[in-house]
Amino acid sequence: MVRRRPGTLLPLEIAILEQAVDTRDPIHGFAIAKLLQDASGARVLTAHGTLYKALARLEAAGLLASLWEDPDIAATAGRPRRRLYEVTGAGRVALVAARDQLPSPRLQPGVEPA
Amino acid sequence: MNTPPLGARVCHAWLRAYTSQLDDEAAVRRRAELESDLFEHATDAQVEGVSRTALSVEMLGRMLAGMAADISWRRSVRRATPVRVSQGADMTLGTKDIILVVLIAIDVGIVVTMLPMLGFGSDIGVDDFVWLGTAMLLAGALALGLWMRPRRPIPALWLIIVGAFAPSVAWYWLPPVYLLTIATIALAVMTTRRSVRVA
Repeated sequence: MVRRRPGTLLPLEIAILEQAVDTRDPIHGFAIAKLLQDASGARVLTAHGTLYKALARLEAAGLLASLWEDPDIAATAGRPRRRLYEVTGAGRVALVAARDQLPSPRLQPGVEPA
Repeated sequence: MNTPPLGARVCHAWLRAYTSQLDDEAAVRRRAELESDLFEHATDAQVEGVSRTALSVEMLGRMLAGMAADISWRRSVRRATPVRVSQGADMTLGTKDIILVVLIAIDVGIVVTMLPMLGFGSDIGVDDFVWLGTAMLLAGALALGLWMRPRRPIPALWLIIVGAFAPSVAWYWLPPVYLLTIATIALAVMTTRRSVRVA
């Protein structure tokens, strides 16, 4: 299990914020899992517990805001209501700060930078 | 897809298990989110032509990989749940509660059976009245503790602990009766610990 330093974001949390910022519109949990899978090229989707715990942590920290979808929309579509997440202003600031703290890619001898 | 795949059903069972006895709001939200997730996953698999077996494996994989996080989440929610000591015991009686009630009834019954002994013979002294009076008081504490349990669990626990000595006082020359005292105290402590935390 990854131990967190206070005030820092875990790699999964950074990835969630990135996906939520990129989509612009509010997005539900499974869609986030799909986007994370596509972005990382992973064969499997993020685990339920891991994903929703991370979302709850980000929301509790004020970096994400969430709301339930209108029940009429869900009823019309014939599916359960979605919990929709969007990045807050604090989330965007935290994402920029987290990106700044990421180690820059190291150049290897004999390899042309992309 | 009329019936949910096996993986979804197992995920639902696990979801119900780890969200049981939790604060209503947190549990309802987690259940609703996961039900939506499982539905979206099944719909997505249908669109992409994934077989039901493969979908079940994917769902079970996600569930298994997230179990540690689920348990950790449950613990954090339980920690955040206020402990309302004055709230009283759960309304539903568990097996241990029923056994405790039976034990207390036996404890009180044992003391009551001693009463006719006061009428036997003429060699009854003051000591006998003091001894039986003490046992009666303790039995009263037991009964009072049992009556107070739903409203004041902690004071009731102390009354039951003290009152549990009633049969041992009444039949002090019969060591097996001491087991009743021990069992009554143990069950009272176990059931009170569980009931004071309002899940």
